[in-house]
Amino acid sequence: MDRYTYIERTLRQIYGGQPSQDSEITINLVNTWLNDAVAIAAKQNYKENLQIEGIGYLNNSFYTTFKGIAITQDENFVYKATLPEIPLGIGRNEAISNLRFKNSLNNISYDGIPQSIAQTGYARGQRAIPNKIEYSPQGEFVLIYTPIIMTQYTMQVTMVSGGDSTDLDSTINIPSDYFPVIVEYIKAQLAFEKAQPQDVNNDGRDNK
Amino acid sequence: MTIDEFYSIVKVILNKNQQGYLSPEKFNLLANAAQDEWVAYLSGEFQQYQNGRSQPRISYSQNSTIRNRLTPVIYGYTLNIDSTGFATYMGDYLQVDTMWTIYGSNRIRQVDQPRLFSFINSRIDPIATNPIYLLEDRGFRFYPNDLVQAKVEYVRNPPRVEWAYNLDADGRPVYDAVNSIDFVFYDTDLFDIMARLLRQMGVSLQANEVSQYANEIKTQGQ
Repeated sequence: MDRYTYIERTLRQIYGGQPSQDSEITINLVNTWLNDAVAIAAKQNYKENLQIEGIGYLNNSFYTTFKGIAITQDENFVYKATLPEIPLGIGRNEAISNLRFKNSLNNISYDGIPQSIAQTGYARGQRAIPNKIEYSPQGEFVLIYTPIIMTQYTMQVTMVSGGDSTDLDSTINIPSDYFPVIVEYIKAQLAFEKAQPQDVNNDGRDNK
Repeated sequence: MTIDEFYSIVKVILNKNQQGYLSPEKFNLLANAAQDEWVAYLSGEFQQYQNGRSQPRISYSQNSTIRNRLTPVIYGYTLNIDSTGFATYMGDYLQVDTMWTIYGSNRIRQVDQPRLFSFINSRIDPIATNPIYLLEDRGFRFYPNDLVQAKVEYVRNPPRVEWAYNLDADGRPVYDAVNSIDFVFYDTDLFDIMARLLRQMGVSLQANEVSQYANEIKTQGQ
């Protein structure tokens, strides 16, 4: 299901029909909640897999590959790239499956080696691993530790993501059996907003 | 129903009770007042609002039946917006039904002044792609101010009706169909307008029977 269709369905549910001209819960607003809801669905999938199979993992359907991410130099032998979104706090790999680099001839490297925060200090004193590139995701950035000049490459990353939130025609990246999870989450948030009393008196005081 | 037929029915009702004569001038005055009252009724009378429930018994466009009654006075118009985002009201403007961008049929939402700052600074719905407008004393103020034009559907004041006449040899008014202006409302609504006119006549003549009859029609329908 694409984002726009899902959002329209949600709005019709909240408004008991097609929204009117006056409606304040907009498509963009619901879209902002959608990424949060996808994260909750991903976490539930991880927990359920851990419970059922004893192994913590996320099903393939939750992953998206983003390509063509530019790399800039941050410090000597440290490069930086911006991830499409902040990785989820799931598992040891931060819900990043793999991270690779591509050159101008469309050759793709082997996967980079992820470092946790605890490892970056220790790895700083180690010799670089031959033919391997180490990286550490921090927030929405990825720091890449290598003597190779990385600015001539682009990065591609496969990570848990709800898809492209800037494109309402893009497909929501979760399996159908987890749609009820995102439906319930978004419905709760929007119903909460709708239930709040509006300050209709312009009297210099906030509603109490 | 022409205005002559309307006037004739009113005169029959008044004369039936021998409650007096309604001159053409008074009729024209009261007929226009009555249809204005009808539009106000269909637009939602805020005097009926209850505490914590800002909705009258009959509110604007509440359902298709009520909306259908007002469609003769719902007009479409293209507004020209100046470089400051301002567009003057239409001469017969009463209230906005819907407002759209000229291209793409994107809605333009009405915003009250106290909330303008939060709409202008919104990052979720930036005004560049989600335009808004304010109601000012002389016209609309649009944000952003580069829309150039906008499509508006609005409720207008109903055109003034007139029972035009010429005087015959005896000085009596004779209906002039050519220069008369009929009501724009549907025939079934004209009885509601008539009831309002009769109520005003009843007040004018202090005729309780006329007022009572008119009130019965107004509250119970015909």
